[in-house]
Amino acid sequence: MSKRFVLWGGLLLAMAAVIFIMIRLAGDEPETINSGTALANSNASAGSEILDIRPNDWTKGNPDADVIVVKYSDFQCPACRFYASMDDRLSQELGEDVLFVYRHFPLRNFQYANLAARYTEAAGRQGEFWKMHDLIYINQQRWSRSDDAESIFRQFAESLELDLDQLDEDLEDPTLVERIESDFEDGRRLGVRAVPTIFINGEMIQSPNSLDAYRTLILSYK
Amino acid sequence: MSQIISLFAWIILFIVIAFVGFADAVYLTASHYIGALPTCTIIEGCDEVALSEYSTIGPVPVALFGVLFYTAMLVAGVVWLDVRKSILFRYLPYLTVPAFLFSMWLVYVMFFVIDAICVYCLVSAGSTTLLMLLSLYLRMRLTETS
Repeated sequence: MSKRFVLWGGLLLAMAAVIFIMIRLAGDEPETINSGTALANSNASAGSEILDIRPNDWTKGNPDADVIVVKYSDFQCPACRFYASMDDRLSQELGEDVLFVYRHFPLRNFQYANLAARYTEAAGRQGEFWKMHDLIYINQQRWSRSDDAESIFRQFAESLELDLDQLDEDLEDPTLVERIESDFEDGRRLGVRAVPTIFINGEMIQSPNSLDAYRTLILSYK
Repeated sequence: MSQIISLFAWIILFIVIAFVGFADAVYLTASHYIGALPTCTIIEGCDEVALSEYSTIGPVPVALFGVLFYTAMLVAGVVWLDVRKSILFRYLPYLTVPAFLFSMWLVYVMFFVIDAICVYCLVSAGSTTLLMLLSLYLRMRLTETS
């Protein structure tokens, strides 16, 4: 009888301990982001003006909104695709309450991240930044595994009826390339180490893991 | 007697492996529900497997099936330690072989479809494989002795 008690009690106890430990471990995971936050906060005075909205920022929503969400993002990162669709949903849902700002942070270890950023910038010069942004994210799995992502980006440009000659010219324009570079450098100065990194009203936040959590977080800044 | 001792050792091994698999699957399930969405970092790249459409069946994360499977294996092992009867182990391969095949399919998807590696998923595939081999062996041993 007591042996039986020890066996089953031991099993239950061991399982409970494992569950407890693993839940703690899973919850602690975004350590890097936390340390990034500390770094950003310590640099807050130096970096805060970087987060001010600039006239050439790509924005979606109400420029006078109480809540400003600045996101450093990469077109080839799968997590960024997730957040892009959440931003889109929340922008529609919350309408006038929020302003979403997109900043480039193309990681060097992605083959096409920089090219994709350049295509959105070039499309942006013809007034179609967000449409190109959406097409590139929605089709990310298709082009990121392809041997020739550029031909797919060109198809997007054609479907948006962009002036392709102008597009080619803009793609090679050094100021366009510099703009992406300067977003990246700004991000680094703010302590961005991973994408996406989101700042709400100047505060680096731990990326929420669901649409509901994201919405609640945004609304808490209202 | 020596045979019984070694059988005991095999069952303990079975339980230990099931326990490793259990811990691993609990971690993956917990990450799914409470962890932040995996981001991509400058140094490490990103966790594409956990974000893929293959990581869930409907709304249920695949890892949760792992938790249930390993729980069943642990219970089976402890039942043997408790009552020393082999009936359960006679039927265990009916669970471990399909689990193994499912696991192999997931490994295939990981390497060839998602084209990324998730270490925790490999640990789970490894423990499922070992549990299947052990369950087949134990079934043989136990049907011999009983």
